Amino acid sequence: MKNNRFFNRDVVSIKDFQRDDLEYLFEKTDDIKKLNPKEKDELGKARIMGYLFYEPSTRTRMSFEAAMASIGGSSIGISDLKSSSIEKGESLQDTVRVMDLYSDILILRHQLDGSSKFAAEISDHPIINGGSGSEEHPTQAMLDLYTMTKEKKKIDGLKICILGDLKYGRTIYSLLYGLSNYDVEIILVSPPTLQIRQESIYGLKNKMKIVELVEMNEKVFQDTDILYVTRIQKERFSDPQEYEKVKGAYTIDSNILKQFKSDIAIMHPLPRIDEISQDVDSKTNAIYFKQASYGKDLRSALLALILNESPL
Amino acid sequence: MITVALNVPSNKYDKKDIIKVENRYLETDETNKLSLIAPHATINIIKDYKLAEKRKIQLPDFITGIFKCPNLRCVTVGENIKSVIEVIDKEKIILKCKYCGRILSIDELIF
Repeated sequence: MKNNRFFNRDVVSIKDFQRDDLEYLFEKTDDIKKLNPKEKDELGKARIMGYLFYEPSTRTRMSFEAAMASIGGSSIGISDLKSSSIEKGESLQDTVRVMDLYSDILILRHQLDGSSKFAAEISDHPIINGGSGSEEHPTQAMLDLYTMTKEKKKIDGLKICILGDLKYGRTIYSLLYGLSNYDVEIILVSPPTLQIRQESIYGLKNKMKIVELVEMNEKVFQDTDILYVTRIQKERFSDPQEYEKVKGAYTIDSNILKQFKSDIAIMHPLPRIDEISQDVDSKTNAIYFKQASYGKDLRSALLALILNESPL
Repeated sequence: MITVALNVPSNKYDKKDIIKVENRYLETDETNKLSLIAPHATINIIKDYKLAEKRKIQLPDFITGIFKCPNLRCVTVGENIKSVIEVIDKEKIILKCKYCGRILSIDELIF
């Protein structure tokens, strides 16, 4: 493969990737998925992925670990801060520098905005942002877009409703930046206190049509092709009483689902709390577990492309 | 020694304020930082009682280590790292933290 756009590259923000980069990644995800296990093993053979998770994670960490294993590589890392020197007060800078010595690629999840950008500056090996504060989660957005291409066959022309905690949910910002590469209509629905941070979508409204609402209306029900639901980010509220006021503010259940178009796709970055009722899980519209599965495929390809100049 | 003079007569602006800093040569990088608070200021470098240099100030592309990012969740605040503020629009003076990406106005910057 020539002109590998991802070789040795940091993945700090999805804003650093254009539409052709994303389409290249999706194409290679499909190609790598088709390889036999022996061919796949060559892509990560003798390579080590280091991970530093300062915040809890299930899917991101596990899917990265599974992705690295699927291409024949291994993983080392910290996900329990109490068992590391971070508990003793070691700075992010020192921890990244040391992990950089032991790894060929690093995955960082950290509670502070800009943490991955900073880590990428001090690390010799590529950094992948596994979630930084309430700022970004670029690989989640990449897998979300990949899911849309797999399930809806195209992204252009879609009407996408994003429902939930738009203020603190970092996946939303990366998803919006990623979607701004396409011709889509966006409807943002959130409780009034959890509306999108205007300063973080600076310039996006010039690139695509964005409508902001505080509740669903008939037009949303009729038009939406994809309903992307997010949970309320309890851990980012400085005042617990504020969280209590919005807790359980919205739930998608099978009755509400009937009001939407029959082929609407329901997505969610997971974990889910109570914003999608479990009775929706069995519906063909519910694609959030497929989405998590696509995540492993996409992350396998991303690791392979970053680690190998010519992986195919 | 620093001397401050207010409402001094000016041919061009009717009135002007003057700040005189003695025994300190200000580099261009330093004087450019003043453009955030006084975009129309002029710098006069006086040497041996004569005007040695007259300088119009310009906003730099990046302002490093002077202001703190007001976002308390920014890595520069939480990890005590030198801030880097990018000037993304020199006309409207729109700023952006290089790390957390927050779009900022001058009023939000913290010394």
